[in-house]
Amino acid sequence: MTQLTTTDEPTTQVFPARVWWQTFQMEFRKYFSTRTWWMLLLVTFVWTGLNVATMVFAVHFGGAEMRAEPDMFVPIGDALARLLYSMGTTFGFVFPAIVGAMSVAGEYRHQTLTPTFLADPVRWRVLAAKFVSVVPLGALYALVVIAGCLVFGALPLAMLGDATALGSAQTWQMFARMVLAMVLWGLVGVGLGTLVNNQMVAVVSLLAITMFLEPTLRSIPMLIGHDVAILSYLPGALGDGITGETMYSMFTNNTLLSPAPAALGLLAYAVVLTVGGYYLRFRRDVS
Amino acid sequence: MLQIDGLTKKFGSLTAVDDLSFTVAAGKVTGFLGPNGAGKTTTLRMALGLTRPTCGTATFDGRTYRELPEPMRHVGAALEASSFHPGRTAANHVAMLAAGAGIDQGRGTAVLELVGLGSVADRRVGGFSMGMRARLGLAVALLGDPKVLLLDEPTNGLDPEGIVWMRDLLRHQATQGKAVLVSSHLLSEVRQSVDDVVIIAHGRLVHCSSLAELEASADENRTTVVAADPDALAGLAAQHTWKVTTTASGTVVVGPTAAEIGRAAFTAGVELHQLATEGGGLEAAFLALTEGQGDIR
Repeated sequence: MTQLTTTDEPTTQVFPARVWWQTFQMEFRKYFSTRTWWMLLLVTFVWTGLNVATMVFAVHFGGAEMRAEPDMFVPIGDALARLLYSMGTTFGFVFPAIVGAMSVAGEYRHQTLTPTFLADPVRWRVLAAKFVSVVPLGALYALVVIAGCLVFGALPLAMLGDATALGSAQTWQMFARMVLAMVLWGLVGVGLGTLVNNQMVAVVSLLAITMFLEPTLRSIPMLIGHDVAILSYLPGALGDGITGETMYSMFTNNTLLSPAPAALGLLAYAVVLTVGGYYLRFRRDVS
Repeated sequence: MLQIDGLTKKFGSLTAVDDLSFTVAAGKVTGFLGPNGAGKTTTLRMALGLTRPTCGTATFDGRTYRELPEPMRHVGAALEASSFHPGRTAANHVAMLAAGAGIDQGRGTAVLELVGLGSVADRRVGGFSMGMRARLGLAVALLGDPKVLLLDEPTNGLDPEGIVWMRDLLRHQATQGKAVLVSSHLLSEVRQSVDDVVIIAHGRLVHCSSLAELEASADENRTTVVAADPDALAGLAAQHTWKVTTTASGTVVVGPTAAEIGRAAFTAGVELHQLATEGGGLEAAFLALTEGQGDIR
């Protein structure tokens, strides 16, 4: 009895660069042939921009009052401007993650895995191409977030006469780390979509974990009065660690990992989710 | 050429495809027939590596779909549930797959023209009718100018004019030396376009021959017989070497006339309760082959 393998060990044709390039191109074309990408990009710009602008005004007019609170750590000058810009990823990280999740879950939703696997029947190559194709897309979303920070953050700061920190190399280094964080969130999204398959469930669970569960857990150090090391390894904390600062640092004082290990940690989440999803879901029969 | 060899698929306790073997020859259109739920789509999905067989193989010139270096240039498939993103245009759908298969983008435009979708290529698929989707599915199948075409119910959603067009197209593909497999639950639908027939019911092969042979056998007498003792009837049939198939309504005897069966039963002392001559013709032969075992599950 012979087994017709659908997804087992690589065959000889897996290796030609040409086939990899074709599959990558197919995945890349998928993003830009529907309207989702630019609609989400627009939402990213407006949503992160408005949040940054709101905080700019809140801190400008209420900063003195906030600083009077014993539990608040509101910096001043360039550090404050950077903290405000970092909100771009605090509010924007979810968008590349949604795009990443949709790149897999959307195929289940519209049953487009059939034509995809007919074009390239080597499934792990298809998944790897999805993983890689999210990288430039995550970077694109990050650039739009940074544009939002400049338009809705730096511009009002300048108009209010506050420091914009745009002359500081530290600020631009942070922008670069924001790009890295957004790209990695896109990869985490691919992993979630591969494991969960339902794009709504994937996005809702991402939001529930990063915006409800994590903030709750990360407020523990404040309550008990000392750091809890393991909390630095939660995905949101890793994302914040990459950017280097975050609004959460105004309220909590749990230590963040430094950017490089934080980036590796978030990448590990993405890889574990994607590989797990591959073995548990992606190799299954397609109907 | 497609060779199906001992293909079996079990879903838990249900056997959807049961030790199925047949070949699809080059230069011919083969009708892959069976009632709904007979396992046609599952067979095609296994052949294309979308569903993993429990056992058995499906090979194209000796290689599984996954082993083909350029699968879409070798095999073109249009599956029933072959879906499209509703927000993507027909042109973009084809272009995306052409990119993935390493096929020239100009070919994408050409196949859309070929299937009659040239004028709506830039419209989103969400607004397409069933017939237009069927044509788009066919365009994708033809994209790589493949040697083998596997089409699952390709005429679904097509108007009568479209069905004639599809028939001519498949015939043309076969005369170019391609192996064409067309599935259908209606023999009448493919009768005018197929050379060979493969008939399955409950996942099992029940008939495999040229259409001409099936038609010849259809001209034979068919009589539904109900006996008090089915074993006695079976013995009688064996003794006279009659071809019999058991259906829900009784035993269908192929060959002898009703009178000959009645006389033989009378002589042998077998008590008959019914002796009914079936309407002849291909459709009746098809029903007789699939009846009783081919009810919708």
